[in-house]
Amino acid sequence: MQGNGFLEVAGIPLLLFAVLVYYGVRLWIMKDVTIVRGKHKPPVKDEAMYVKSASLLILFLAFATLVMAFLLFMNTYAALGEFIAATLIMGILWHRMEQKYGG
Amino acid sequence: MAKINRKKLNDFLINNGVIIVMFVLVIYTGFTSDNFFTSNNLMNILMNISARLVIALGIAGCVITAGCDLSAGRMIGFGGCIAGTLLQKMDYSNKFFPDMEPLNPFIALIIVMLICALFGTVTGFFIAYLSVPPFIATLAMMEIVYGISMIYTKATPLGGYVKAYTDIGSGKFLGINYLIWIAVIVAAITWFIFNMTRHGKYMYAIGGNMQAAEVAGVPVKLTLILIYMKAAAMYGLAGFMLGAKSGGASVQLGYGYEMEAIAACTIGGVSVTGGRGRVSSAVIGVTVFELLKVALQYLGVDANAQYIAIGIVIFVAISLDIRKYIAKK
Repeated sequence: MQGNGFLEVAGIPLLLFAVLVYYGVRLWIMKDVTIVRGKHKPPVKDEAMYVKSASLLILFLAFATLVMAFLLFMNTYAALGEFIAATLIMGILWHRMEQKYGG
Repeated sequence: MAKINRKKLNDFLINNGVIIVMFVLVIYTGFTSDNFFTSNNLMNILMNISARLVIALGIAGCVITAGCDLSAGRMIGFGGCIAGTLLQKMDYSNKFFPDMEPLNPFIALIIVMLICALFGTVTGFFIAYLSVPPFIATLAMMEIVYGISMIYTKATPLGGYVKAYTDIGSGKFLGINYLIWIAVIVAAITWFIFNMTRHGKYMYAIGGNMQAAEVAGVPVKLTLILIYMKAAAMYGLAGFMLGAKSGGASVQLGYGYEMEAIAACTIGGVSVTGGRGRVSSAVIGVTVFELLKVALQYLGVDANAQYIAIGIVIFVAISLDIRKYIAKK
């Protein structure tokens, strides 16, 4: 497959993967929760755990995006199903994390 | 006194610097090109502005609450594709639903807006109830909507629309194209929502300080869901308009428009830090942004170099917005 063809199919998921990895790693290293929480939210209860959990969840979604990029070449339905499931899992886990460590 | 006036002038120049520079560029282009200040060109620019204004007004609501909506571009493509499949001629050889009579364009529009609004509601739910950051939730929705569009259309471009649909893109009322009228009506409705309704007040309160708004009794979660739902319905409308204008659609329709809309809002004065922005901000931003693009084309700037120029404008506009926020603090 030509490079352009590859990017046409998987370009957007790969771009999304790069953005999510950037945010996940940045949060992990900088330990700045305002990256994902914004500036007006109350301070978190346990910053270390919040940073760890949030980064892992963002990286989990990034991984799901990468898997989707490859699944797109095999079966579009499977790729979409995988990503919807990953987004739902991520959303639920994020909510739990907010309740446990958030403000 | 003179010092105060100088400070005011300085602030005005810094706060509106991007708009002033673009205005000067447009005037320069107008006087150096033969066809720039013509009614035809003006009508073309207004038609290009119309769909983009609808998108920007949708995104403005999200930006005012210190959020963003990166799914807008894909939602536009999805909306355009749904409208396309419902409004193809019976005798079109590649008709998507061969046995289905084309719907009334107005009913098709309602279906498109409702479907898009449903996706916007899901995004809003993720942001409001699951506290997922807007950029992650909307990025994920962008991907999901793109996947659904690919499956729905089987990645084939759509065409062969009924005349009643394409007439929306080419027909005129009082000498002004229908698309422009639609944008004007949407702007008026949005102005009413932003300024005259409780929902509008809640929106600004959430953008100003979400925690304080919650303490003051603002239904933050419901308001956020409504904002993302309303925005998605507007992307559906924009997709419908773009489909009517071009006479065809594909999943790539509207790709990258979300960035342009966010940039246009910021140029016009909708603050990316939340709490500030009006309908006029979106109108000014979209107009200035579109004029810049047309002016660059008229000046013969290389197509690739235009991206650089637009990128610089976005960079400067957002930097100035952040500067305003820091100065205010």
